[in-house]
Amino acid sequence: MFSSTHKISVARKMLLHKKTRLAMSLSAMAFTVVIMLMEMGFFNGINDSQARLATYFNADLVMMDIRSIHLNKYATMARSRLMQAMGFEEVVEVVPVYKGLVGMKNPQTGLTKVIFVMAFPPDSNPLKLPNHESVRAALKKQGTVVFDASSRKIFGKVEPGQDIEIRDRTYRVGGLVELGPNFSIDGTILMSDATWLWGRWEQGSERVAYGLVRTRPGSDIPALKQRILDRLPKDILLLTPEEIRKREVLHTIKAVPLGAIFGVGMIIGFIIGVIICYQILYNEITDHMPQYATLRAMGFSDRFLRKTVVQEALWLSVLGFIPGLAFGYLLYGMIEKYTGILMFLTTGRIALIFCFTIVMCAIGGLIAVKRVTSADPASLY
Amino acid sequence: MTIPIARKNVFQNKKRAAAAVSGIAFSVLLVFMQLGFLQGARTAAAALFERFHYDLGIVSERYKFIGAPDRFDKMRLTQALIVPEVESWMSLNISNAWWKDPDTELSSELMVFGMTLDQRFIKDPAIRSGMDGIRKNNTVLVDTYSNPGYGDLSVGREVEVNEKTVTITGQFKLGVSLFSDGCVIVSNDNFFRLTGNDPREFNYGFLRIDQDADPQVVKEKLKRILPNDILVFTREEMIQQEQDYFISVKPVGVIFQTGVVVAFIVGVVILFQVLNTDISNRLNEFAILKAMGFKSWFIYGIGVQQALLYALMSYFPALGFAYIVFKVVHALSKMPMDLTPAMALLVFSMSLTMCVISCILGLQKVRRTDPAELY
Repeated sequence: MFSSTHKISVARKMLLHKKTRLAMSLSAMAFTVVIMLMEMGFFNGINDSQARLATYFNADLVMMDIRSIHLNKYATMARSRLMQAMGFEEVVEVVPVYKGLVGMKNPQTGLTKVIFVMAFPPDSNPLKLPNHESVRAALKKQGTVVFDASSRKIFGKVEPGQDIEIRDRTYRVGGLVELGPNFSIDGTILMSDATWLWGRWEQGSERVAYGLVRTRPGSDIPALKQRILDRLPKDILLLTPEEIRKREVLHTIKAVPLGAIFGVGMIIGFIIGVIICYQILYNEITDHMPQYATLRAMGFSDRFLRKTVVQEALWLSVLGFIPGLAFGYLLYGMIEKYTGILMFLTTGRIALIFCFTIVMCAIGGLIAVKRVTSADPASLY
Repeated sequence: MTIPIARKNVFQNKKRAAAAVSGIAFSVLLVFMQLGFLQGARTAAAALFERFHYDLGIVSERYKFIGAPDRFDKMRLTQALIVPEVESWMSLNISNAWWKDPDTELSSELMVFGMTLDQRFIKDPAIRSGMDGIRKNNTVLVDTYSNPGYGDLSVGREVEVNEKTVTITGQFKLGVSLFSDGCVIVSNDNFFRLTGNDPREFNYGFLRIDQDADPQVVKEKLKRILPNDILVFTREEMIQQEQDYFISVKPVGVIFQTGVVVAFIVGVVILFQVLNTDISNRLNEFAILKAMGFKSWFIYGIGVQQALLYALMSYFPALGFAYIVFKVVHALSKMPMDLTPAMALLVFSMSLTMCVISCILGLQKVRRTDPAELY
């Protein structure tokens, strides 16, 4: 007699009875979803941004100095290590990437601020960039650099064709890329190795920051990595770009207590969600006491009433999640645009927050459920 | 007569009141946390510059922040003495280095601070008292807030800095986790030897001026006589610019400010919801009051008092709880987390604002109470 469709409609009808109040309740739920989304977003965003360079590396393995405990460490290695790696049959090419921190003069304010420079042979295409063809063409001209358009504003507005001053020398901006800043890097300039040498950076070309190892298709990368590491002096690291990314995330978490900072926020958001859900259901049950009492008088079991409340809780979680997600999505976009922090809203992350929302509402529902079974048919009269 | 009505309304259903209060309290707590982290980042960013007594600071015109200070010619400090108000100078130098714990052979990043050993400039008592210990070659003061990977930091222990053996002669507390794994303070002599930096160039110059001189005036004089390859800041500007770099350029600020705004909105929504429910449940009672001749403003007053009660009952437990959470976060992460009276006041006024907004939104219904509807 009490088919499942009936049960659902009881829960839904109870919720929808007072629409304005429901809308209000849902907006509260939605904001707790936003809190959780934001806290998770910043946590992941900072980690993703710190590790961003690793995802650009166009290589099977990346060689670094052993002291390069993170990507922004300025430890360099002897270029001869790259030559030694070339000695392995599977290795097709090892691209040297030089890096340095140099002062760039903001063309508008005239103030010089330190910027990150990467240099490499222009034909080597070391970074996976959507416009790598035009970057290559631009870098081939000596004295020409490519500027990261998403660099922080302290470097001023830089347009292609403009001249900029780096370390008291003038360079022509040949094009723009979108690499993005993070907590270590405020801006990036790319140049060819020839331009690098022409600029007489103190690092010269003997000390290399990254060696990008490219292998024959079908090579067994882990085995090759082990063989190179066994054979070469112990002053290098050899990692796949994905390993570097993961290592970078671990380092960031360790270096700054991000987990604690955003974890606390997330837990508080979750608790608020439980309380709001409880409150909504409690009010709803109080308002509908006569209805629940009638249901009981009609012979519906306590189990049915409990189920109804839990279903309401689940409805709340779904209905609160959707606007929360939409609002969170907008905020993510704004934050990424404004701060350069990568705010990826991946399916996995959405699913995680959705699970949290469901658990949150389920807990709120389970606390509220006690009240419904106190509905007393006798009190109706 | 009036207070008991609001109070009785709030407490009539204790469970509901508890849920409402805890909901609002948690959003207030979240506001506290976000402000605490923001404040913590601000403090950590400029912590070093608070450890010294000085009136003016000189840095290179290419100065960015403590992690990229660039260098200026040490001659500029001598030139600064031409201005009669300038009494004396000290220099502070910063370099990245490597720390090695000889027991574990573990290398960690390190920031070495080299400075002129001049009592007058040093505010931090631990650094002051440790100063005489680092006059000897290869001696360091170590920051006990450094990464645990640094190993045992007790006085007398020998460790390696840039592959040279140094002896720990004292300790201090700073915390540089935003920039490096840890730090040590050494004399300038040891600094240039350990780092190999050019001793003719400095990162920071701190100036003390005559007690009755105005730092702004002296700053302008210095800017006029010194070449424009340096920047001159007052102490406040120095600290301000360091914090601005982190809060606005990096930008740490927006992360926590977003958190504050969202937590505030949640608080408003919860309070509004509670008020709205309370009032709709009591429309009959309010109608009776009206019928008895009480004016609308009296009924509004009850609503406002209820909102105030909720806000106050939420604020104080949140304040206490925030105090504990701040302590815990500081103990776990060494992040400076201070619940300042200013912050407590700011959040208190935010709680009151929550109350006002939710009253404006939530009390609309009271107007509609109509005694005629009772029957």
